[in-house]
Parts: sequence; structure tokens; C-alpha cells
Amino acid sequence: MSSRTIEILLVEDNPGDVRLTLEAFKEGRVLNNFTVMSDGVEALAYLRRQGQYANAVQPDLILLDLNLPKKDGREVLAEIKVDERLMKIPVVVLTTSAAEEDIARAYSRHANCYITKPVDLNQFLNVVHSIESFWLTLVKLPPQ
Amino acid sequence: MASHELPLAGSYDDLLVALSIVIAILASYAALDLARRVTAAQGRARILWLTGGATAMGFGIWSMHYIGMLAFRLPVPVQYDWPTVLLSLVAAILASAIALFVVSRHKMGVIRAFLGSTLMGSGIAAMHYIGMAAMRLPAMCHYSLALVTLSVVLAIVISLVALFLTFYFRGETTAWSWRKILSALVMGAAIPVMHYSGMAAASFTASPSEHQDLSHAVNVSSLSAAGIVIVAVMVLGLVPLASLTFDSLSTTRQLAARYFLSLGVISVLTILGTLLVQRQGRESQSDARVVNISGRQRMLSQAIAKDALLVAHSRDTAERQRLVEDLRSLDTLWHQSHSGLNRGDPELGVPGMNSPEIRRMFVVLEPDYDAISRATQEMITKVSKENEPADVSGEVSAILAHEGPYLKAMNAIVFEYESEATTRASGENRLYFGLLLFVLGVLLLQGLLVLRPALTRIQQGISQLELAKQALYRKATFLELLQAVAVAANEAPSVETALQFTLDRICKHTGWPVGHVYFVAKKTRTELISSTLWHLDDAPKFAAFRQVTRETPLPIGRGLPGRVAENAKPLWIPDINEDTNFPRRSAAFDLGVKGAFGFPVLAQGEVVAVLEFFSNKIEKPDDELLTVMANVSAQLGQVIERTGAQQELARKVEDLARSNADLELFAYVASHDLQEPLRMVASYTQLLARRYQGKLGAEADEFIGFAVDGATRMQQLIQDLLSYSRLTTRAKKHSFTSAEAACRSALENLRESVKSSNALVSVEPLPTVLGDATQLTQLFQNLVGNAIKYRNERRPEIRVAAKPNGNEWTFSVQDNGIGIEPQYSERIFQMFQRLHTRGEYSGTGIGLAICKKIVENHGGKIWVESQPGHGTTFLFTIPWPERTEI
Repeated sequence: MSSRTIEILLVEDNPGDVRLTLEAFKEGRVLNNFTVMSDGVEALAYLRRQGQYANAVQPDLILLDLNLPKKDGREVLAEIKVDERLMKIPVVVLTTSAAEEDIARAYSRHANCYITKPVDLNQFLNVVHSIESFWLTLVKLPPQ
Repeated sequence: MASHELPLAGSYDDLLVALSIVIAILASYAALDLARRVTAAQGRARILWLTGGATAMGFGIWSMHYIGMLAFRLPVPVQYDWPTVLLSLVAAILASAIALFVVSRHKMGVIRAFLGSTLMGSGIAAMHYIGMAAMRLPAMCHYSLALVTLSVVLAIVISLVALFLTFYFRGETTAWSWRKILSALVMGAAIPVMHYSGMAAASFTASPSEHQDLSHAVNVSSLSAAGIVIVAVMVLGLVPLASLTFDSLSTTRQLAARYFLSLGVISVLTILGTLLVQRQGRESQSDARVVNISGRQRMLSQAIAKDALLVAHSRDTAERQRLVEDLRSLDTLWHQSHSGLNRGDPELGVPGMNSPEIRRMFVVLEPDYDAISRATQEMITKVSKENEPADVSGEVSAILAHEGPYLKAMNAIVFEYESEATTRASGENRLYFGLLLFVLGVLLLQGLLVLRPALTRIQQGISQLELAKQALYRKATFLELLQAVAVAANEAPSVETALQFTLDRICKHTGWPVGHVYFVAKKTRTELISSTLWHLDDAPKFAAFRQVTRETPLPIGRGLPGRVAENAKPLWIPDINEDTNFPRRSAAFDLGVKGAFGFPVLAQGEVVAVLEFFSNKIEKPDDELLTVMANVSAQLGQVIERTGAQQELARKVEDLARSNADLELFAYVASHDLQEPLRMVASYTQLLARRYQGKLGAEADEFIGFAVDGATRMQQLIQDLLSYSRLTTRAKKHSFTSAEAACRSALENLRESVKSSNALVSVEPLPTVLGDATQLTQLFQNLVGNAIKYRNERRPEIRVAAKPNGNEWTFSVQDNGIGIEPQYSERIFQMFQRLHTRGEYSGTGIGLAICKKIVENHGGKIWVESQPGHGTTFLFTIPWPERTEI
């Protein structure tokens, strides 16, 4: 159990989904601070602390959707995982697609894990809790 | 002189007897053949055959009889009265005519047979005895009545047998049937029997010949005998020969038959000639003896005269006795010789056959002879009786007086004998030469009738063979050309390669220097485009022609290729200078091009190319070449069609791949992008339910419940649709898969439901099939899953098995569940069709549709057999792989 606030970057373009995710995490136990980016370009700029994001905080965990406008989540993943500074940040691909190729490709781009968003709300809440207990409680995140 | 009443013993010349039997056999054979001819002929032909046949047969029988008579040798000279001889021939012909007539009728009843045989037998007997009556000889002929009767009876009986044999075997059409030959032999043996019994009936006693009428008597020399035999053989030989040419033998057989016939004739003639020579030898021997002895008569008479004189003048008794003895012996010899010359004497070796002239001369001689003879006898008697010298002067003068005329007459006789002998010899020589010439003639004839036709046939045969060989050789070279083109056409990577090969090959084969290909313009189809495919024996020389060709536009109908393309038929121009529709004529002419030829290449009935060839000679149309070209063009057409088809196929495969890719993309996008809004609806309605449960009212709860439910179902449906579509777009190439492994894998996936339902699943050995492992797993999973789902209160027992059935496997998944009513057994395989509500059993109803699609992908069928309440068995077939698929 960590006392510090965990910084989570959520890259998701659907506001409904964003809200859902946030609501789910609210019911959790770990203190977390969410930053939401709604497209790939912005997300990368944020991570690289470019432009208006010069003072961005490096997140401890990235929740990444695959279907994003401008720059695709798959590309973002690829870029993150080749960036020296960013590659250590765990990326959880959280997407609706259950397509095998997407899963395969994500892992080959070194995604840390791949989760399919269930349709059912309860299931979704369970997923989020699982993410919480695993990634935010159990797992030792890389030091800042 | 004393008349001798001695019986004359006759003897038979074996050779002539044999010849007579041979003639008899030939005559019988001819008779059989003639009988057939006459029976078969109608109307005028019948009469012709009857008369001709009767003549031939009659002649045969008569000559047999005659040779038999000639074979009979008597110590006395025998001559024949030729009118009577002719009469006997007539009798023979009549008898034959009767015989042929009788046997050629439709039926031969007993009465007719007896009548016929009686007539025929009498006719033959008549011939025989008339023939005997023709004999002119210094002998009396006595007939034993018993033997005569026997001979007539024999004649009638043998005629009867002959008639029967001939009648029953007249139908034999084969020339050499054993029946005919046997009958001929029987008859041939019988007829001589009849003849010689008739001869035996006659006995001869010597008597002076003056009583008989000798005005027409002739000698039958060996000459005539030979002549009769030859003619008889030839006449009788003609009968089968006549049949041979009328029969429809093959030409070869006819020639062979003619050849053998001529050989037969030649051998017969040679034998006859040899016999003739032998006879001639014997005759000349006897002639020599006659001349000798008659010459000696002169000497003897002179010796007698001398002795008589000596006796008259001798005083010595001893000497006289000696002389008388000498005289006696001389006289005996002289006497014997004289009578021998006149009547024949075997001891002396003289036949005693004198010609009328010689007989006349002897008659003239007779008085002198008698006088001398008497005087000599008296002298002998006188001198031997009395010891003292008797007066024999009277006798001596008598002898001397008649000596002169005797000598003169005897000289004449000797001379006559000599000249007759010479004539005979020369006559026989002539005959001999005639025979030789005849043989040569036959050889020549044979050469004309047999050898020449045979050689001509052989020559024709050879020329035909030669022609055939040439034709075959030509065909072989053409076939080779065609084969080479066919092989090249099949193996050529492109149409151009095949066409170039064809050009080269054809030019090589025909020896023409120029070949070229025109293509029909694909788009417009109204003009020909000169291709770069050329065959040029001398490239620089024809460079100008190439240029002209490239520059001359050829619409369809113009020029050689144009016309070929227009008519879709080959065109042959023997000389382009004579042709009006040839635009490149001047260029071609400069190069010495004369002959031209073009043929079309057709693909799917349309002309796609034209091949043209040029020659520097004026060429006549070669039909065989045209036929081969037609075949070549067919081959090329096939190549073009094939390449076209291949390209078409490649295009279609590409289209299909693209279409599949599109479909896959669509499915992916559909699932992906449809899922998202679904999630929104479902998630937020559920969130609503969570946050505001009970706060909005029961109705609101209910509404929310339905909304959530709908969204969830929608998602499931989309998933199902997606997996159904993937059965096609993600179809993998079939490989050998273990159905058992697929089933096990499916069961593994169903582990949870198997455990929770406590199902007993038994899997029997399943075979390896040609298919997609993933899809097969899905198939088993769906079927077994259904079996578990649709169970009743019993413990579910599921059995998976497979059975071979002809050229396929029949798989079965059997359960003991709730069963399916028969009227729904088709409906359940339709997409999203269910027989129960969602409340009763879960599921979207896509499972069996997916099963059906998978089974169809594998080339099989699926169906259900069920008893409601007891259980269901799903059956599907998967065929064994075809050879071509392995």
C-alpha cells in the first residue's frame, strides 16, 4: 500500500468512457490522480512535456485506448516504448477491441498488458478494481 | 498258201492301258463338273453346255476306248476303217448326252435312273462294238456271247453307278473336293473294266484279209495314238479350266491355277514327246529290220539262183548234196522272210504291217515268187531223191526266168519300204518338232497369261507400296511438326514464345525463307498489327521487306493476312505477282518472293493472329500442309486461350482476395465501431441502475432493466455475426487434421460446463480428415455444448463417434437430452433461429448455423435425428480427400 498519490494518465477519446473509468476508480481505495488526454498527439506531447505541457508530471501508469483520433493508440504505444525516458512506464492497453491481431500487436510493441473493456458495468467495475489491486497495490512501480 | 486257222494271241501294251485309265478318270471328273454346269445353267446356256459337254465327254470316253484298243497288240497288222471309227465316236457322244441330260434334271427317280443307265450303257457298249467292227485285220473275230452279255450288263450297271454319283455330287462347287475326286476315281476305274471285259469277249483267229473292205483302212501309228491322247487330255482338261476362270477366284489364285495348268500341260506334252521318241526308236528299229530283210530277200533269191545253177552244172554228187542242203536252208529262210514280211513274224522281228502300196507290190511279185519257189522245191526234191544227177535244167531256167522280175519287184519293194520308213521318220520328227514348238508355245502363252500379269501385279504392288511409304513419311514429318508445336505450345511461358517457335519450325519444315506473325488489334478488331515475330533465313536481305511490312497498314480484308483474317481460313497464293490484293507486292517481288501462304489462329472462334509465310518458288497448294497448319493453328489457339484464361483466373483470384479483405475489414470495423456505442448504452444504464436503484421507481427500474438487457444481447449478436463471417474470411487452407484432437480441444474449452452439468462424454476413435483444425474444434464445441445445454433431468450422456461410409466419414454427436421435434429439423440450422425462449435456454441461435457453415466448408452435409424426450443425434459427413487435393 502506497501512501503517495499515484499519477495515472488516461488516454481515451470517448468522454463517456472517460467518465465511467473515473467513476470506477473513485470507488477504489487507492488515492490516484487522473490526467486525461483525448488524442494521441496530445498524449505524447504531455508525456514529452512539450509545449503547454512543459510542467507535466510523469505518470506512474498509463491507461491507453487503441482507437484514438489523430494519432492511433497503437502508434502512441510504439513511440512510448522506444522512448528512453518513457519506456519504463507501464502501459495498460484498455480497449473495446478483442481482436487477436490487436492483442498480438500490442504485446509485440511491448504493452505491459492488454485488457478488453467489458460491456457489462459490473464486469467493468471488476476490471478496474483488478487493475487497481494489481498495478497500484501489488506491483512495484518504477521509481520516479 | 496254207491258210492258218491259228488263234491269235493278243497282248496289252501296259503304258497305253495306263493312259487309257488316266483318260477314263479325267473323263469322269469332267463329267461330274459338266453335270454341275448343265444343272446350273438355264435356257440357251444350258443347251450350249449340254452339247459342248456331251462332245467333250463323248470324245473322252471314245478316246479312252480307242487307246485301249491300240494297247491291244496282235501278231497281225491291224488297221482301222475310219468312217466306222467316227461312228463309234458319235455313239459315245450320244451316250454322254443322255447321261448329262439325265443327271441335270431336278430329280432322278429310280425309273429315270434305270432308263438312263440302260440307254447310256447300251450307247457305250454300242461304241465299243462299233469300234471293234472298225478293225481291219487278217483275222476273224469271234465273240463269246456270255462275255458280250456280261460286258453290256457291266456297262449298264456302271452307267447306273456313274449316274448316281454324278447326280448326287453335282452340287459340289469346290473344284477339288474329295467327293468329286473319289467319284472320278471310281468311275475312272470302272469304265476300263467295262472296256477290257468287252475286249476279253473277242477272240481272233488268223484269216486272209482280202475279205474285208480296206478302202478306208488306215494305220494307227504311234503318231496318231499320241495325238489322240494329247487331244483327249486337253479337251478334258479344258472342262475344269473353264470352271476355273468362271469361278470367282482371286486374281492371284487364277494366275497360280493357270500356271500350274500350263505346267501340267507341258509335263504331259514332255512325257508324250519322250514316249514318242521311244516309239520312234522301236519303230525305226523294226523298219530297219524290214528293210534289212527285204534287202536280204534279193540276196537270197540271187543265192538260190546261183545255187540252182551250180547244182545244174555240178557233177559231183557230194557237192550237189551240199548245194541242195544249202538251197534248202536258203529256200526256208527266203520263204520265212517272205511270209514274215507279209504277215509278220516275231522271230524275225517284222510286224508284217504293209501299206496298201507294198501289198500291191507283193501281189505283183507273187507269180514270180511262186514260180521260183516251186522250181526250187522241185529241184530240191529231185536232187535229194535221185543220186544221179537229175535233170534240173527246167527248174533252173524257170528260176532264172523269174529271177529278174523278182529282183526288180523286190528292189521296188525295198525302195518302197525305205521311203515309207523315211517318210514315217520324218513325219514323226515333224511331230516331235511340232510338239516342241507346242511346248514352247505353251510356255510363251504362260508367259503372257501368267508371268506378265503376275509381274504387272507385283510391279503395281511395289509402286503402291512406294507411294504408301512416301505418303507415310510425309505424314510422319507432319506429325512430328505438329507434335513439336503442341509441346512448345504447352510449355511456352508466353504466347510470343510459342508463336516464334511455330514460325521457326514451319519454315524449317517447308524450307520457306520468310515467316511472320500479325496480330489482330484487340481494341478495334478491324486491322492487323505487324508483330516483331519474324523468321528470316537471310535477315539483311529481307530487312527492306520487314520495313515495308511495318509501314503497310493492313485493315481486315486487305492483303494476304487481311483476307485470311476476314475469312478465318487459310489462303494460298502460288505466285504473288498474279495476285491483285497484295499491297507489298513490289517489295516482295524485288526480293524474288513468289509463293505466299497464310493461316489464321483462332481463339474461342475469333481470329486473334495470322501467320504468313513466303517462298522464292512458285508453290502449288499442298493439301497436307494445309491440314497440318489447321492443326497447328488449333494448338496455338489453345495456347492463346489458355494464357487468356490464366490471366483471367489471376485477375479473378485477385478480385476475390480483395473482396475477402474488404469483407474482413468490414466485419472488423463493424464489430469494433459498433461495440463502442453499445458499451455506452449498456454501461450507463447499468450505472443508472446502481446509483438510482429504488430512487426512480419500480417502472424506471424495469425500463432500465430492459435497456440493459437489449444492449447486452446486441453485443452478443454482433460477436456471433463476426465469428460467422470469419468462417469464410479467415478460412485456412485445409490440411490433414486429427478430428479426435479437435474434439478433445473442444471438450477442454467446455470443461467448466461439463463439470457443472456432470456430463458423461465418451469420444470414440475419430479419424484424420482434410480440414481446418480451428473450425473443427468450433464445430465439436458447438455440438457438444448444445448437447450439454439442452439436457433434461437425466445425467447428460454424450457420445461422439465416426463411421466410414463409402468415400466419406459420418460423424455423430449423440445425447440423451430433450430432443427436437421433427418439423423443426431444418429450421434449427438457420441463423438466429431458436426453439426456446431466452428464459428457458440461453443462446443466440447462431451455433448450429455456424456448424452448418463449417461442415459445408469441408464439403459435407449435416442433419439431425431425434426423438423428443429421449435424445438427439447430430450427424455430419466429411468426405475423404480427392486424389487431387492431397
